[in-house]
Amino acid sequence: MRWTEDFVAITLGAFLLLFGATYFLILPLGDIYIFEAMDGIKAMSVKLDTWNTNPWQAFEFKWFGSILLLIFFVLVLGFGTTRLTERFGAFAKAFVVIFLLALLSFLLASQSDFKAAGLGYALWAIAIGIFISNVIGVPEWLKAGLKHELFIKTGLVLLGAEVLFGKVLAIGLPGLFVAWVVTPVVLVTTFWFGQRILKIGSKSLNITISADMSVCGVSAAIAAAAASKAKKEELTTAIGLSMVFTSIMMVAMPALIKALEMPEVLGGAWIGGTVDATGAVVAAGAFLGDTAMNVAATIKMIQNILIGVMAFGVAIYWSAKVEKTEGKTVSAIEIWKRFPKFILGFIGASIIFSIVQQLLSPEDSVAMIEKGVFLFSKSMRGWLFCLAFVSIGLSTNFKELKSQFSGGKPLILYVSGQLLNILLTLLMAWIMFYKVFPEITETL
Amino acid sequence: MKRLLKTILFFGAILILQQGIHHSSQFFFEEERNVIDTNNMEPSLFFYTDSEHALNAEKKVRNQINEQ
Repeated sequence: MRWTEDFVAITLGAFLLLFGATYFLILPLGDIYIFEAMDGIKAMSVKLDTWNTNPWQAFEFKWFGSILLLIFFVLVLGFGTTRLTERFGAFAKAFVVIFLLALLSFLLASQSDFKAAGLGYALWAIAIGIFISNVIGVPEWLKAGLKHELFIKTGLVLLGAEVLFGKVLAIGLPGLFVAWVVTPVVLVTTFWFGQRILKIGSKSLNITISADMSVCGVSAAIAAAAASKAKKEELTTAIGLSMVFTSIMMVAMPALIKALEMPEVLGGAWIGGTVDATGAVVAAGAFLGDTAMNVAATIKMIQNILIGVMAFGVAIYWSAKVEKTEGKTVSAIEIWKRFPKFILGFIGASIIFSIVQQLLSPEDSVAMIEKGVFLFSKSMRGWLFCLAFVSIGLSTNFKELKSQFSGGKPLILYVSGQLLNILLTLLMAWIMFYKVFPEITETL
Repeated sequence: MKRLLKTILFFGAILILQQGIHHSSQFFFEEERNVIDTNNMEPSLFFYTDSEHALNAEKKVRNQINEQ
């Protein structure tokens, strides 16, 4: 059997999900010693504590877990890379350094001031990587560990498991209209605007920024970039734009809503549909009040679920339209050959976990999925994305990254798309929550 | 020497950024900063499953609608 990177990513993703589910799979055995052995799995879900002036505070009771996680990743990802090309020893040596840089990124992101400003690990991982590659230089031996595509694809399979379709109707039809009708319209219009009006040379850069701005920020950018086989500099550009505008909109949107004396439900729905990152949506909603926060977070959550549909659509469009030779029709076999197969792992994980969630009672679903498997898988996903961003930074040439911004087109694309998003979301939220379904608004 | 200087500059810039955010939050977005700190929020979280607040909000909204 010939291993491909996509197949390795699906295998590793499936293994990590099964590993996270071990506790529940062995539950019928009820052996106390086995349960105690499971503490190692919990310890590996390393999340650094918030610190203000003393960085060591972030590591309280986290050293054991961090070392265990490093060993676990070396073994699991080392197995994956040896299926492809690298030798285990060469990968392991390079990976230790990349892991330590990822740890440094998480450390900076957990500093209280950076945390409050929304400067997350993605930004720090890329910045540290770019600094090292462009100032200090990357030694040849370190390149064996720069597997950003493998890290991203494996992380996306884990993300797929978190896309639970049962959450779609959480707030009823108005939420579905705000999150699932406006978003694709904005995505397609922004992509069209980028191609036809701005004439952006790279379609993959265009779709990555469009998805990033219209769907849910960094996670959508990662999925769209992987589905459209975008260059690492293009993903970095999209993430940079998203993080800057999320920080601005998180403060500006609630201020505008307060100034306009807008009702909390409308303001919350507006924030939920427009601000990129889930965490920023929750914070911006909370600046207005509890109702606004609940509505904003729920709308954002429904929008987050669109990520799988978007990634699948982009992968199909790229395989069938973008990569085809001019004047030739593309056969179904050809589309299948070009199709990024890891998307199937992403969709498959989403379908399996959505079905399992529907079969379980709400209490069991929370205990076994949200606080069980996801506790492990979302931590692994975060680490994999952070490792990917460090790898991207370490292999990015600053001049190439700078060239992405030539003429300011990515910035114009983001701002134009976001303005359309802001207008359409407000209009749809007002129609749905105040004209079509006012009875739902009254209950909130 | 040049590399060392650039490294010092890089870490210096991070320190200046942190101090800038710290002091500006005392003047410009103090109220917002208090909300974030009091509720232990993380504005940089990407996905809804990363946020306890988002998961709780969905359950609250779903219950409110179902109760009607």
